[in-house]
Amino acid sequence: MVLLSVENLPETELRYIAQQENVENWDSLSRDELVEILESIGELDFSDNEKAGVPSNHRFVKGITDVGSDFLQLPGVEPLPTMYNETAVHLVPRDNYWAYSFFSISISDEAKLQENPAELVLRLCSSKASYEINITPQDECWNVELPWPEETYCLKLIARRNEEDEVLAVSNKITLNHTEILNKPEALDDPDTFKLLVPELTNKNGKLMDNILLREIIEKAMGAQK
Amino acid sequence: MKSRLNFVFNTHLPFVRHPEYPKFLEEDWLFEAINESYLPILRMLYKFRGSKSKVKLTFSLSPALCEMLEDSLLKERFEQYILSRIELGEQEIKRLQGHEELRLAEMYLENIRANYAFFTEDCNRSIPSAFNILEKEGFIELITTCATHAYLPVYQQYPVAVNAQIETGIMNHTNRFDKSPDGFWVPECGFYPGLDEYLRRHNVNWISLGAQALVLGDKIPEKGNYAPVKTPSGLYCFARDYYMTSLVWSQDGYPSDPLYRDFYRDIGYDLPLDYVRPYIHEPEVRVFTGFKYYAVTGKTADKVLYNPDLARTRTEEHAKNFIYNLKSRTSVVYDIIKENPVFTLSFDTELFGHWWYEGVQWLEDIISLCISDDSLEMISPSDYIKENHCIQTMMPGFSSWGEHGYSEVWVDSSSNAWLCRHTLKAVERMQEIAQRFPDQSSLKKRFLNQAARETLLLMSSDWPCIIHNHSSEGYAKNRIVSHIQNLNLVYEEVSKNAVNTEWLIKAEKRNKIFADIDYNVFNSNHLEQTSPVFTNDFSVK
Repeated sequence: MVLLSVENLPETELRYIAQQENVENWDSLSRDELVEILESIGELDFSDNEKAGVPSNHRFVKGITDVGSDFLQLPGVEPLPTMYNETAVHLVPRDNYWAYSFFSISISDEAKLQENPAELVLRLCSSKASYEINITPQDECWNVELPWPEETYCLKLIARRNEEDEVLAVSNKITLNHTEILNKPEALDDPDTFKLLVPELTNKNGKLMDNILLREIIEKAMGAQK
Repeated sequence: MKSRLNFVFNTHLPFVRHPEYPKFLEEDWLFEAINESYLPILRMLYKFRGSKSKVKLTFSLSPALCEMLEDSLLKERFEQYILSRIELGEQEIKRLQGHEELRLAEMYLENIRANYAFFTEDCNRSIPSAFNILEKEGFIELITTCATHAYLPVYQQYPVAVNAQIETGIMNHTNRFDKSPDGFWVPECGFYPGLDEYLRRHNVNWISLGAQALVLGDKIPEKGNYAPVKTPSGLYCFARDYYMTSLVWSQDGYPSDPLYRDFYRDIGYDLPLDYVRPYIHEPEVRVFTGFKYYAVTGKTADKVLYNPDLARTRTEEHAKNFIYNLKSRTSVVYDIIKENPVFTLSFDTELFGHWWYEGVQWLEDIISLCISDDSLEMISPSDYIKENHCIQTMMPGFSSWGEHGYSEVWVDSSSNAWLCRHTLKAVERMQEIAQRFPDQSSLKKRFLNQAARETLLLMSSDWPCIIHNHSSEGYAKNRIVSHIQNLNLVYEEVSKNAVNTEWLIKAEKRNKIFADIDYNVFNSNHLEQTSPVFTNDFSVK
């Protein structure tokens, strides 16, 4: 299978490799220290070791095949641009609280902005409210918080001059779905409902699965109980 | 009172095929999965053929994986791979005479030889066909997934592309197995409200979702995850049971037991280079060989020798433990919902045999326990739906089975989110050229078809996931960038009414997938013309 990079290996394995590599104090180093040392070893040339008959563990080498960055390129392809020549803004939902946005300004719009400078602003809009993020021309992306549940959002890229706004681009819309139990956490007060919904979302140690919205629901339910 | 086990196995690997190299390391992903997981699972299930055992499992075979499994070059390379492992096994037996590890080497060699015989004789070198036989005989249900296992929530603003993934996947499955799939594996269980309508357009009746999908839905699920729900468009949604599946697939799940075989200690790393050189990759890149002689042991670097007899006893115990937990849950749940609960147990197939060496044996033990106990029943979602239960209508919430239950793995600002700009632009461009140049023929059609292949390949969920995990980062980045570059080339050239034949010939040879693809699947007019949406009662609107 794939060669795993150092930080993906379990601590036991890290210690074993460190021992094999004759790392000093291999049995008392912390995990972070082990990762740092083994990563630096991974970058060394082992060919002398091999010639001397000393086995080396390349298990943790990050690069798998000895290839350059363009080994898969077919004839005629162009390198990937940093940006596409368009004025646009996109919103990609990451979870129920955050979205990833990326944006670009076309060459002609950039020229206009240079001629007639403006402050650049991202405005996140929903039916409930909106808020703004000041950005610079060097910014290309932003993690945008989605503060109001069950809302539909869009993002506007705005050029602001003397408090007058010019909307340069509007993103696609994203909608956070209605979550009934978030609105009715008291439903978990019913023992049968609790027994149905909660244990199936925990592990054998009773730990709730790692999900921010689930945690919020349980906390609300516990708060309601108090 | 019965516990109903709904096992759903997602079988997928990213499409990796490099004819331009005589040997390519990342192709080992496929060979290891075949040798350590798919063939052992098939051999295990084939033991039940001829019996009237009520075995029922569901397997999703991804189109990308099936294309690799049926590719003649990759089959030939797999045979070379397995023959080299047989040779290595024979070497190991010579080397280990008089050593404790000898019986382990003999065990591995016997398994590999059995796999090879099964591959060449029972499978006739076609693993999808071997699965198909099991479906025809009623032991399993075969379903499919997106063409290249795209994580769909990232593309939700591009319904044409979402539909292209679904439609191409279903068409590939139907052509391969002469039967359209009843169910669909949503990649990474990545669901968003509205996705159901695109699946229903293609007569998909059911999907499997992440554990939290129903609880985070627009209604409170009346039966928890112990029964499916139905969306307004009529799609049945079965949500995974986190408690039961985490007994198996979690940091302290069964595979972490000290008696089980350790994954990492492998002779590919432990033995001198001169000895393993014929079995690793150039330029002297050590790899896993599959010959592993140590047990997990515990949190220590001093691993003990693996004892298969002790491990065997432990798998029996773990199978019984699993059933015990299942029955305990059943007795609680049955009293509340007044019907036999369905436990949806979805896993990646490669967990069994590859990541967890004893996993196939554990699965066999579970099946045997189910067969011999009337309070246990294996059921597929399609069989459950045919029973015509009263099903709650609701919409599951945005969810996945990835880390933290959403899209963080595939939209990770610290590692792979930068790809979104390029992949979404590529999808936009593919849709644009499909619309601008519809129904082309001859060379231009080939050119645009190849663009469609590149688009599907760049949409694969594997590349951003690999980058997020920092495992084969360089290769994954190269792959996704190359597909985007290829798409951009077609976009530029076709806009100038030109065809780059040199590129086309090489691209077709390398990215040889979906021979029947029609690029018009990326045309928005095509989406409007696809099947009408079905109503709740399965009649056509």
